Amino acid sequence: MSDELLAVENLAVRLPGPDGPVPVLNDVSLTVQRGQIVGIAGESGSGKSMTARTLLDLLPSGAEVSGTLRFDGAELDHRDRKAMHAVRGHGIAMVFQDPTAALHPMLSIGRQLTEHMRVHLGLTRTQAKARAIELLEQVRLPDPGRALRSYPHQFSGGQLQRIAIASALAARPKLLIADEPTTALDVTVQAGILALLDSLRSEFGLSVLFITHDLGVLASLATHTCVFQHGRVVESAPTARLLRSPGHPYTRALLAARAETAEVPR
Amino acid sequence: MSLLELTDIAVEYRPAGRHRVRAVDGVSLTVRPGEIVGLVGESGCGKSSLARVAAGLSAPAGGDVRLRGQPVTPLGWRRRRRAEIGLQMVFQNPYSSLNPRRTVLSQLLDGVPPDVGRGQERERYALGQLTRVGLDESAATRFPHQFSGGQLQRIAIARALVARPDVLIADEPVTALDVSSQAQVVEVLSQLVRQLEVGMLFISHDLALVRRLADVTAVMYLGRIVEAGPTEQLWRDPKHPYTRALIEAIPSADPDAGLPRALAGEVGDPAAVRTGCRFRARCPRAFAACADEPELAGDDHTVACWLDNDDTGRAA
Repeated sequence: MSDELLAVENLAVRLPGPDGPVPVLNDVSLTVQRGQIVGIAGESGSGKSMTARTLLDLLPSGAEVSGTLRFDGAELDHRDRKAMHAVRGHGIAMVFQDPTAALHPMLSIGRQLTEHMRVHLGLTRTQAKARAIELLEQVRLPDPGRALRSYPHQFSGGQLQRIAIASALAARPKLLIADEPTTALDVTVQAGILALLDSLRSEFGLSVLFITHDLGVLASLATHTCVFQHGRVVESAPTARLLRSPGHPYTRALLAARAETAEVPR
Repeated sequence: MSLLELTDIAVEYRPAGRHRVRAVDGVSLTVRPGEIVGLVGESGCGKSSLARVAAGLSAPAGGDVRLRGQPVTPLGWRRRRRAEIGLQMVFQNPYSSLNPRRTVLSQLLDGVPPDVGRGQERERYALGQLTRVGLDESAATRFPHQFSGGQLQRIAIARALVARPDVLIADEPVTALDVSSQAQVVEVLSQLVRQLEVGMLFISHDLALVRRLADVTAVMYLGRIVEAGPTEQLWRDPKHPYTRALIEAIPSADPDAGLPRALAGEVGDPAAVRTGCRFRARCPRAFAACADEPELAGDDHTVACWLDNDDTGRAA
């Protein structure tokens, strides 16, 4: 088996607009190896979330997609609905930016964590509950038994994001797409989520496609980083090299915009 | 002379069926003309409650707010007194703080003080503020949906400026924006404060951003200020373990730095009855003395921590 888990080649996406199709992605290529965290950096509108959505076929209707997507040795075919259904959850799972929107406010955590396991994995109620507790332990949520009986409003943003990650891991996906998973969180909580993703990678060999606007978040987490601008990959390199000697002016601008280093002219 | 003075502010909420929550517990702050005071802390620490009191939008449970020595009374269903219009606020989300169905100009004109004149003069004055925040005058006839987030936030700043404020209170003004528009908005704010000699209370959970902008930084934890001082000094030599933890949690763009250090636990429940230092439960260096609550001590750079108190420090 090769080490390549995901390969995106020459991906282009056009969305319908009032004056004809609008290109949103152009000639995007990237690969994710097994057990590797790959970062996608860029600002809003740069196409980073679109890339994630294309992988899971979550694009708006009428979108035109061209290029090849290879996942786990097989080609992803968006027209084959049954195959796509099998890939979602089992193969590729996703964690979104806002955990308060990702979870239903009126259903208990237990219900939300076990429902999809019972449907997709065919587990019994007891099996699903045991698996849910195991998952919550994996994401280091204190007192998982009690958490299952609680509701989303009883948790903080950081805890909810851990629960959302647990839910995404339920069907043992090979690739986790994390779309700005820490943007809505405090820095102290963000540090905890980054450590969690890194340990899931080292312990379970999980591959992660980590989408962010902050290159600093990727510095110690991602092995490889792709910088997106205007729907294109403008720079793609091992993270350490990209940060030490950014080749593209846009990468340099992103680094300069980080408040850490920049100075405000007085 | 201090422009805005908050003395011993307390804010309480009474959620139905629950205990009283003391969200802000005895906070004092001053903002001087041309000075930016940064207030940082995690979500739930009481920053926004304090901002609302400072802007006169809600009543404190204790303490008082003074603008140029005059007490600020909380806004009810009455019109603001002329002097109090000097307090203007910039909110986090420009998409909801501007009216989507009115043009930019008509919203700016709302805030123009009556002594500016009438008709044409008022309009020219409003357009002047628009150019001051770096937007073209042609923006005036357009609607909010025609702008990006960063542009909208600059319009919101222009809206605050037309009222000729003495003090701007900015509650997480760039959190909803992209990094590059963040930089622009921060630059606009910083220039305005220097040019117009207004004071600014800049509230953010982003310590790195506050470092870049503020002259003075105050760090808040569970309703109290645990450390305050000149920004560079506080950053280079953080005295409170909480401030240190916040700084260490900021991801660095240096590939050799390793993952940012996570602070154990979560911000405690503000409704819980508390004894001793509030940060004790999460503090890596807590010791016996922390069972008593430390007071803010120091001249310029103040800190509320027993570790920094020489007598107890030696005793430990």
